[in-house]
Amino acid sequence: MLILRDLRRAFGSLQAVDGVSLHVDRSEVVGLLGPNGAGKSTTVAMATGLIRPDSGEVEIVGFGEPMRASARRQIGLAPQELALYEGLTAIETLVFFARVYGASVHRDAIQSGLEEVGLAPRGKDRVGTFSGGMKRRLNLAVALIHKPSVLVLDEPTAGVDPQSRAHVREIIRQRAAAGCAVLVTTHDMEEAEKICDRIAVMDQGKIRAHGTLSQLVTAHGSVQGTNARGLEEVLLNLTGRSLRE
Amino acid sequence: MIYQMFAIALKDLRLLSRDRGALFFTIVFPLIVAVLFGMVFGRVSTPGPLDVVVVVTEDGPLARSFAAALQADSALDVQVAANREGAVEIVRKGKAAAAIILPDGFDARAEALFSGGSMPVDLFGDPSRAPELGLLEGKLMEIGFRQFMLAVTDSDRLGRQTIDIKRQLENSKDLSEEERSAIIKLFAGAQELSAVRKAEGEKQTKKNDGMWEFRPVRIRTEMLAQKKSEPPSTYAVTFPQGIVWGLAGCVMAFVTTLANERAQGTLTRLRAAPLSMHLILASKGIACVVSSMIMQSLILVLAWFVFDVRPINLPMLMFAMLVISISFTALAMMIAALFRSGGGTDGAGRALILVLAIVGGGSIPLVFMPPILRSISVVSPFRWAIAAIEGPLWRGGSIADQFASIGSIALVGLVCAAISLGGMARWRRGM
Repeated sequence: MLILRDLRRAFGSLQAVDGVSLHVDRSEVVGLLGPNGAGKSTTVAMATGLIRPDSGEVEIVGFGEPMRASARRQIGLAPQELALYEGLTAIETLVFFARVYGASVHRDAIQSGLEEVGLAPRGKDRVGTFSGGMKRRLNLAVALIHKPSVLVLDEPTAGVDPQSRAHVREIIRQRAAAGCAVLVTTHDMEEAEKICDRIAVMDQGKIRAHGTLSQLVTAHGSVQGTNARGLEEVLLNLTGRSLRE
Repeated sequence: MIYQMFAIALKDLRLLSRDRGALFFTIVFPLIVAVLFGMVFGRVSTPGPLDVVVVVTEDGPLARSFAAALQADSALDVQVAANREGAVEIVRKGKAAAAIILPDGFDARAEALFSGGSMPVDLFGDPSRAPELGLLEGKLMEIGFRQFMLAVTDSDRLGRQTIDIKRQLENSKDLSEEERSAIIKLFAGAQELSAVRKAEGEKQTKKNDGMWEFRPVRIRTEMLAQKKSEPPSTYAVTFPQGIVWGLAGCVMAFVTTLANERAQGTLTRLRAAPLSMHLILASKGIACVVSSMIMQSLILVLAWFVFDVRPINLPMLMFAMLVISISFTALAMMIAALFRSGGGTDGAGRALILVLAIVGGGSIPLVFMPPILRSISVVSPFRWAIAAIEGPLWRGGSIADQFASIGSIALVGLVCAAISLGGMARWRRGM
């Protein structure tokens, strides 16, 4: 379980995150939605221990703050960038990150990781030869290889084909069903609706609203009926229609 | 933690081994430089005056005259040392190409030129400058001939020598009476010539062709760093030069991998893992040290077994290689820490390394550099790396001297490490 308590972080005069509180329970997928510059990435960075908050705290329940190595072992991060080494094969990539996290590098564990994301047949191929969708799936496999109890996924389906997107969503739901606490940032309303148990809408460093999809649509959506339309309306109603930088 | 460090180091080495460009600049290019420059420098002479140090161990007019002739020669840049040991030390330190010793008994043997004597010269050479030493021997012979011509045209000396020879002939038991009589008549003529010339005060300049078969100078040459049987070669100079480029390649490869990690987001991923930033960089540093050691070993093994450049102190050489590898890793870390963007690290880092390598003797050996460039080269860690390798490889010198060279590069490494730690603290504050 992941708990964020009153997180604040400024960069110079810019208050990127301003009092964010959120919790993600076991077996729950929480979506973090918001326009560009809303503070989602800074929140994710603090949640994973990449940066320290100016104030507030992050807790991986049972393991403490994510600056601690033991807590970090519980976190699986899939950054928005395809953070992979193009010169390594898929197998070498998983073995490497498993070693970094002190996880098993047994052949079965690695093979299982590849099968989970549908890359077993390409395990010995270099990442540089993969398509965008394959890289995105491997990016997720890296986050999963050490069997974390908290998954933090930053735009996990950005720029991939519908098949890969569907596969990634299925994996996320399976991991949540297995007990993982999952925090997902996304711009994709359909994705948020399909995989998130709860959604938090962020803007200007603050959480403007959060709840289940139906709660948000009821409270902030002006258009009733279709869910897809409803969530987008919720977002626009909460964050405004002006273009962002 | 060690397990994780080695995982990162192994990953970096694996990526390096698959990067053809990095491999070329780390291994192939240095070898090309070493072999090509070795061939080229083996065929050229120095463009400027040759720096030598001269010692006259027994004061005498002929030795003084010979030394003065050396000093007057425009092809030589002569410094005078007080004794043989001092001169040898100057050469060992690479501050002169050779020590020319005019030993005890120089005048006595030079006086006996007409009776089988010759001017003795002891030459202690810097083996890295073997081509220049060949020229120096020719120059010594030329000066010897000039001295001989002076002896011939010095009527007092000519007179003394003919009297001395006449006396030896009279006492000789190997000659028949007819032979002795004929030769004595010959020298009587020479004595008469000497007397006439003294009276007329005329200088004799006519060349005697037969004298060119004669060698008035006996040179005993010793290469200081090659007390073993193998002769030095220009490859002993160019292979350390090749190592400079290999080190540049390793540093650039390290800087590039770090720049790529930052640009591709893999560094973010590593930082999210249960690893500290210092541990990540230390792990990458291990890869840099290992690749540097492998590169240096490959180049020196090739130098040894193919070009016969045998190290004179192998343990010291290995120690120097290790210190150099660690110090250049610190240099790479400093570059990585000073620039915040991946592009800045890569671009500016490459430019900096290139300039330092060239100034430090990577392109032109220090001995061929103009004095001003040689002075500037002290700022380059590559210069100190060359010095640290050359000592145990071929230059020799005392253990203290070799440790001093290695200490210099270690000091450079410490400074770079200190700066990189400061830069990384700035990094962390920005996180």
